[in-house]
Amino acid sequence: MKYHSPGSPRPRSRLGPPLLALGLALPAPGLLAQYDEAAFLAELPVVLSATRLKQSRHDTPAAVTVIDRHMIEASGARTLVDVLRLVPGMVTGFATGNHHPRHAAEEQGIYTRLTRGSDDIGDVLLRHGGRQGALDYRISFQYQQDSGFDGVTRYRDRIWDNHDWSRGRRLTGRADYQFNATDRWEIQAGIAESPQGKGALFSDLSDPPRTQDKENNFVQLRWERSNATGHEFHVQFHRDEHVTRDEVLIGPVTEALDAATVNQLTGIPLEGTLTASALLDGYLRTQRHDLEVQHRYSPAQGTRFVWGGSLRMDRVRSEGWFNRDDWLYHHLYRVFGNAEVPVTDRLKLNLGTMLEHNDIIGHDLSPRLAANYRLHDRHSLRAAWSRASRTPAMIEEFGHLVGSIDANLAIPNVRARLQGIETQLDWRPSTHTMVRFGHAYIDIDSDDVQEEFSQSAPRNSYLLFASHRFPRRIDASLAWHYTERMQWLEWESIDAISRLDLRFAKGFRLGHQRAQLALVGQNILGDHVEFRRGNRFDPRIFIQLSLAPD
Amino acid sequence: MLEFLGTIRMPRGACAMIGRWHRLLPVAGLLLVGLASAADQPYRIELLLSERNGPYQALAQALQTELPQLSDQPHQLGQSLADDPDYHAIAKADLVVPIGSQASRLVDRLPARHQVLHVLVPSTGYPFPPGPVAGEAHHSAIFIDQPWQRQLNLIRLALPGVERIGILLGTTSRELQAEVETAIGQQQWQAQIGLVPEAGNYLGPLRRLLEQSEVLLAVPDQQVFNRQNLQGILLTSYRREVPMIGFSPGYVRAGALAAVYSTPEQIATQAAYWIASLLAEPGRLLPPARHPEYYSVAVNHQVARSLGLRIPGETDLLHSLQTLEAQP
Repeated sequence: MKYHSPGSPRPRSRLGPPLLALGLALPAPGLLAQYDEAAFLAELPVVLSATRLKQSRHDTPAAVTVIDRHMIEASGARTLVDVLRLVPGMVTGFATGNHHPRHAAEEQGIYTRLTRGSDDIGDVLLRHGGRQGALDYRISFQYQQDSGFDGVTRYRDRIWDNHDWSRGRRLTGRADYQFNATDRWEIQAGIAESPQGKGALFSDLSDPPRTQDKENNFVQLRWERSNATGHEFHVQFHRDEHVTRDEVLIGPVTEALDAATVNQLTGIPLEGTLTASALLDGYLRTQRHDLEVQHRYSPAQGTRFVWGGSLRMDRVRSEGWFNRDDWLYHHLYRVFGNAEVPVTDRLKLNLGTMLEHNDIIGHDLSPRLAANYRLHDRHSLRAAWSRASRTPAMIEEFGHLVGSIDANLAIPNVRARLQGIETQLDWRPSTHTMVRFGHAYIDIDSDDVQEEFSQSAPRNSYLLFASHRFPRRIDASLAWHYTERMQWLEWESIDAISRLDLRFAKGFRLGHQRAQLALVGQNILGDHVEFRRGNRFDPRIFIQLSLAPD
Repeated sequence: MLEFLGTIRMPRGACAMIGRWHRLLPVAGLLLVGLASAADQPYRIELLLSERNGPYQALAQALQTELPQLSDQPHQLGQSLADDPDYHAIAKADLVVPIGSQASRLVDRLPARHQVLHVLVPSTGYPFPPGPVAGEAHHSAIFIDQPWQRQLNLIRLALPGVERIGILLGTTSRELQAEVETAIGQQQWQAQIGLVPEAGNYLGPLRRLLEQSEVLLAVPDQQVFNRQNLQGILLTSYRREVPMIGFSPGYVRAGALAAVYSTPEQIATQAAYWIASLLAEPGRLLPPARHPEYYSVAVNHQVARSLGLRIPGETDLLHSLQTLEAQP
């Protein structure tokens, strides 16, 4: 079919005479048929809703470090812990944040990634995204294995051989269904199991080598309505479950261990002497059910209100940890509200509060006040005040190991005051080059006697990240970070860590696919110790092949 | 009689019609009924709406309201729906105003004594020549879409410094490539073109395009920019921090950074001016088809702020656009 732009000669009609009757009765084929005004007049769903939009760095009421997908890929990260290393000042191994998972519509077709390398690294990722009408879906399967930290380590006359291999399998799915211009459903579900090695050969007797089975599954349903008047509303239900099967046979004890040694080795504060063998049942089943309602509203440009509430029920069951066979419950109720109000063109106030009630600490109010002042288009000053308290985890509140070890797992009540400065410089000299430098200084002032809190974070940590895309689809990147000496809470102190990761990648075409072959070297400067003395992280090298639809 | 009336309304078309009069025989009866008493009648305008509701009705109503304010010449204004056209009234009308593409296709071949003003139709696919054609009705249009220049001006004002403009085209809109490249080239900017194959997925071409683009300019090609694809297009470009310039307020609500567009009421205003000048001078021809003179700007400030962009307000942008267009 042809169409003509204005000014080009009109096609002669095969129907012949310009008859009024014919003209009315038979629409002329092809005329204006390719395009019509529907595209201009269509009511469209709000895609970039306020919940999906990230807050500009200038407006956030707290310091935020953004690690985007490019940075994750370029860093050669295999795990979440690898990703979090890219945040200076963040040394925790596990954390979850407010992340924005990808909409199913963003990934279509089949994506494959295979990884193989030293330390028995072998990963497979398969992902398929598709669409049926207004339904977008994605299914992913992932397998990850490695042999953990390296071989035999000596520490204080003891020899360790970490038994910390892992084999993880995960199947997840997501569906997004936009059923009209304002409403959409989102369903996510997943199941995973990951047997992994625990304990260490030649180590202390409470942690013998064995296999621990972990399973988890989750489902999340969300209904979201965004209408044209700027109101956004969502209801979300989330349920997840984690099961750990871990049986620890301690003993028979051939030598009497004094409590101090066990404490030193396991972090479990003990009293008395170990004299007998015991079977510790590490079976642990936890469930979380969470229902959340939220309403956002922007009555005027720059002013935003958000308020909502959630009901959460956690329950845990473990005879080994809690010395009882039934479920232990924990309930949490929250209402929260936040207002973002521009005072002047440059000054913006954030006022928020959260009222929480939970079974452990009762009522708690967490107010927050922040002011952002924009000095210049790209510079802003922020001052914030907030008050919050940390509710102990259920294991800390109820937990004690049973068997012949009867240890109280409660974290001692210690006051700590943290002060720090964080700096981040991002430089993008061209679209192909990115450089980030980050530094965090943290000073902990605590009345703890053994200084375990005062030294529980490195005073200084640094990050340097750089990536560049060369011609011929060659990518190179490096990530270097340096963390000063610190002491993990309940664990021993570890020396300063300097780690350098390098990645080289080459993109090419394989049939109708985009392919990329990457070589990643982690920690290429040499060994260091992570988290505890036995964890010796040796240099690792692996190769990654990814195939994506064009 | 037929030729006489034709001569009054359309002097140029008359000669051709004399030679072709026999072609009109099958419907001569209908025309005679319609035209027999037309000589002393007030000017007849017949609106033909593609749909009863929404923007079509809004335009029709605005036209009915504005025309009497612009002209005190006697005229008759009637309307019918494309689903159930009032053939009789259309046959008698001096000016037919089809509103929307469905209505436009119906009045594709009116005889020479009519003038036709198409409104709420896109410029792409508009088949009529700018000037009169002998023996045929004279067609003109006020398009729904904006000229490239105006959209590029919006980019200049909203995103100063941006030079690489990404355009994603489908198999149909591919024919626009030369035209849009010329418009972008005139600004000394680079046009980056991504082509979506006929049955192919848009995500691959979009990703490659986004790597080379600083802004994505949406094109009203339903193969690419349809409601289903829009999710993926907006989310993918947002993640890569490439803002999109849309072509309707719906796009801006959905997540485009900004758009310049004309409302049905604004198109009605322009149509009312054109019709008023016909009423003042009944022998006159409609001006050639063109893009709307009246337009609005919509900005999604939430998206702008999230992308760390500071862009002027809608009113400021509109005034700046008008100033730019007023310059020679």
